[in-house]
Amino acid sequence: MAGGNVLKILGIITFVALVVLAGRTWVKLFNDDRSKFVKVSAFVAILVALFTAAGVGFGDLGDAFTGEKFDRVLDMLGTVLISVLACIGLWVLSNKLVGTLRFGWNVFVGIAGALIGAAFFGVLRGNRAVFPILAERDPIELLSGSGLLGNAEWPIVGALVFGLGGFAMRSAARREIRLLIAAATGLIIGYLIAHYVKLWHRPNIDWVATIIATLVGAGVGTALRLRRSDRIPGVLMGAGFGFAIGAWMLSPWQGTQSPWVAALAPPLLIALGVAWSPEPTPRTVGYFENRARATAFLAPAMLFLLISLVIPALRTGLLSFKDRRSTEWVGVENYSTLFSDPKSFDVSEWSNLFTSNLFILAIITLLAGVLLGFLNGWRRNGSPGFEATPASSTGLLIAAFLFVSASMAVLRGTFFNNLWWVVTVVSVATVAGLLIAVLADRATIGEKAAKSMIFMPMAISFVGASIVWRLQYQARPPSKNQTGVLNAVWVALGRLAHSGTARIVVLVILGAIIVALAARAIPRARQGLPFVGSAIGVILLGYLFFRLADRRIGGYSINAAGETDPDTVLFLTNQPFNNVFLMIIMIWMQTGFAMVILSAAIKAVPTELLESAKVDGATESQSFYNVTLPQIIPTLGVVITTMIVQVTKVYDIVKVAGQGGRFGNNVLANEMFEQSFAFGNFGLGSAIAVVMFLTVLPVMIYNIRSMQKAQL
Amino acid sequence: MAAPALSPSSLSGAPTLGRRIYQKLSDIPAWALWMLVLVWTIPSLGLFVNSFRGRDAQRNDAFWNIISEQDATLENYRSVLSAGATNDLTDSLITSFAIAVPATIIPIAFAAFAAYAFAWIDFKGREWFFIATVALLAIPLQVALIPLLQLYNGGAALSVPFTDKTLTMLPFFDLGGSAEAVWLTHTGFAMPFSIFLLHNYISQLPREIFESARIDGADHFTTFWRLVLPLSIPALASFAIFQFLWTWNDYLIANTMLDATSSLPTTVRIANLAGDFDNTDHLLTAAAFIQAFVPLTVFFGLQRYFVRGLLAGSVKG
Repeated sequence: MAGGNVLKILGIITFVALVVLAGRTWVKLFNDDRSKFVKVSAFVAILVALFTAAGVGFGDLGDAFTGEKFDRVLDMLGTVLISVLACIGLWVLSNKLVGTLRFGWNVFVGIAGALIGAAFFGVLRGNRAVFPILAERDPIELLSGSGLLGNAEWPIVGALVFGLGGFAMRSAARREIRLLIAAATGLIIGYLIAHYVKLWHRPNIDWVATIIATLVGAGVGTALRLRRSDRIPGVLMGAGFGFAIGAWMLSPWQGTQSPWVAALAPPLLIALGVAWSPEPTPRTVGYFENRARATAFLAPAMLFLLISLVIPALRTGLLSFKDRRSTEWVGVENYSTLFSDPKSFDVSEWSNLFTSNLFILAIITLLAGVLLGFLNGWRRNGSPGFEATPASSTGLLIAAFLFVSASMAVLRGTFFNNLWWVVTVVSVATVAGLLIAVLADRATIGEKAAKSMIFMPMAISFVGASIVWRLQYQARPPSKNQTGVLNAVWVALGRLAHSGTARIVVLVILGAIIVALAARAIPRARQGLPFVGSAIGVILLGYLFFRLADRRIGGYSINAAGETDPDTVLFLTNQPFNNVFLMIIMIWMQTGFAMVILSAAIKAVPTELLESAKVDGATESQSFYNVTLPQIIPTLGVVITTMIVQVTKVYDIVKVAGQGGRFGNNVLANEMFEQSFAFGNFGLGSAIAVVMFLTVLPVMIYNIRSMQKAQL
Repeated sequence: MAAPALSPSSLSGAPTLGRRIYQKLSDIPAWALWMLVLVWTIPSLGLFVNSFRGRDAQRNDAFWNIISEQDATLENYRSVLSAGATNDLTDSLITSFAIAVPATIIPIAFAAFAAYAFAWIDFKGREWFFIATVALLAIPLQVALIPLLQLYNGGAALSVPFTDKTLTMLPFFDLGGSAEAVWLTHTGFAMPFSIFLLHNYISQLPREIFESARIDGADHFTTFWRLVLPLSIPALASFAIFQFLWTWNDYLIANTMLDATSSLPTTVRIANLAGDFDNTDHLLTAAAFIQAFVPLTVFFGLQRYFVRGLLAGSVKG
């Protein structure tokens, strides 16, 4: 097939072009740094060489360069080239078109007219003229068909008539001659329309509707030119478009009347309207050029935005009020179905909240935070009163986090799961990112390497990350070796708790660390210095110490015969905390993002501020809380809003690692996908999508606000 | 890189080796940092190591046993890279490229045009237009999926109110289930972020170069093509890396737009493999590593630009 070979040749050209382009860009990127260029290039070259050698070594990847697979690669590259050339080519053409303004207004009108004519007649032919190129990707198809030049006849004739007519009309200086030429062109176009239009598309003009539409059109046309001195072009063109709408859209198509009136009147009126307007002044042309330029630069992006984001989003809003097949309006039924489904909202276990461990822990932390605040107030002022310190604030924040987690653990259902995701992932990833950024800022060795290791999961797909973590979460029957790392550690911990000397040794070491930490924390607390890190360390290690001493830790249980058996945790199926183990995957990926951005913000804090704080005798943590933290608050806002948007639409992890949300770990995005594409319920699916949109609406408004501020 | 002759350490006398080692060891932040790095890397390391272990080994023991087993194998890689084998990933790799390459190049071009217009062409309502565009950043893609799928599977028609007629707004191009449908979708969804990122950069270019270009008689097209584009290469590279990673790693859009008869990109193939727990489960490790290999190469090779893009894209105002 000819088309296929064309595609292959194009494919080879694209490949060469891509290689050259990539090479040039690569060299440019490292313009300033020769040694870096060599190092990075060598690194990438070695990786690629290794990979290729491994592949070819198997003798099978080699097939990618021969035979059927090679054909596929070439086809793909050919398609890429055509798409890219078409997209960029159209843009260059439109700019060249605006550029023709410098040759005169008549040249511009002629060329623009030719393009409009080609497009108009192409569409009139039912897209058969443009279709072959776009759908079959075979330009030769265009020349087949019934016309003199095949399907190409239509756009060519259209381009000639529109182009020559427009050029001739705008070359004439006197209005009468312009009107004469315009009338002739309009009549020819009308004749062509009447000639080409299919028999069953001929309208029986509904005169009442047509006259009303014509008058309305003329009114609109006048209104659009209210500010200009000459309104007749507006009247004529508006009337022409109005007549076209009345005669072709508002009238029935029956094919009994001759099409002459319907076909001739609109082009005649519009052409006369175009011809009536006077020769534009240079100033008008300049103004027009600027607008046309802006349009040419913006049009591709805006068209894509409209077609693939704005209009579909609006349509989803409509569909959410229709039934599953989008045929009948059902009002808010989809929303009420959604909100009354216990799978979305399940509050039946809310009373368990007050007995859950997390809740008790939250209360303890809350009390500790309040107590610390009061102690501080007392120490400062001599009388009882709350005054926040870093320690008390941290305690209160942790209490709030624990409280939300405790509530989310008893409130079940898709909505609460999503809320839980957002709260947990955003807060933990931000805090962890901040912690790592601070640590990296102070560390003396390997800051960059460590940061890129933490950052690396961002480059992996959610699917890949889910596979990675599924492996870590694996649980096998207790009698067998564990393949999942976490369960292996858990069982090992159990073995340790039930062993003899090893347990004693670990207990002694743990005890020593706890004592050391306490020895650091207590005097600091007395002096009013921050001691949060040490205190948290003491609490966590102390908990571990007592559980280990009590032999109540790790994957071990006592069976009926009084012997001990290893016991494993089903991380991905045990409800409700399987949700948390999925969130950990997202935290693992997002922490790097928070770290990179916060790290840059921390480095941007003016050193003078930190130095003056040091001179005033502030400790490192004091200067962090009082100098660095206030400075990076705006960046924290950006990190948090970005992550809220990201986490709200989490889907891949639940689908792949969470096995499609079957174990009480469903989220909105997954439910939306299931309802729409697995069960074919577009109404309910759209309703869920709209709810997702509404949840990020506050973030959107916040973004708009902050952008407005930045513009001022 | 000669050290300055009068650095503080040379004045106070070089510290002894023992003291230097002590200082390094007592660096608590570094220790804590590296502990965290270790925790962070173990999962990926586990996957990577397991990809070199056979099926039985993977099923019977955790990954560190590779040391005691001493039977590392490339068999998993051979299985997923052999043309014609049931779990052959090479077709999917080609499809992934067929989606990611146009989905990277085309948005860059379009967004650069639009960013230039927003930054340097004066027109009415520019600020509001720009804010509206960037506000779309927060919209979850899910709101557009159903209508887009309908568009690719049947074109778009508007039934005109008060009449019995429908207008074909976009003809049916038979794109359902094709790679084109996926990258067209990516192109649209990438617009808000890419325009925002490139605008941040292009609007920071010095005003003088535009003024001198105008004096030399260059129009916007020439200015963009000859001046702005070459100067913006770092920003374009940043966005290209982002967009490539994001389209290569995408699962949702590909899974929505493609069906079982299409050639599937790697993410969808791997997710499908992960869905059926049969004898191929052990190949997932190698498959996931191959899938991650391309973005990881890009990431480690061009990390500087990746980070720069991340910062430019998130530090607003």
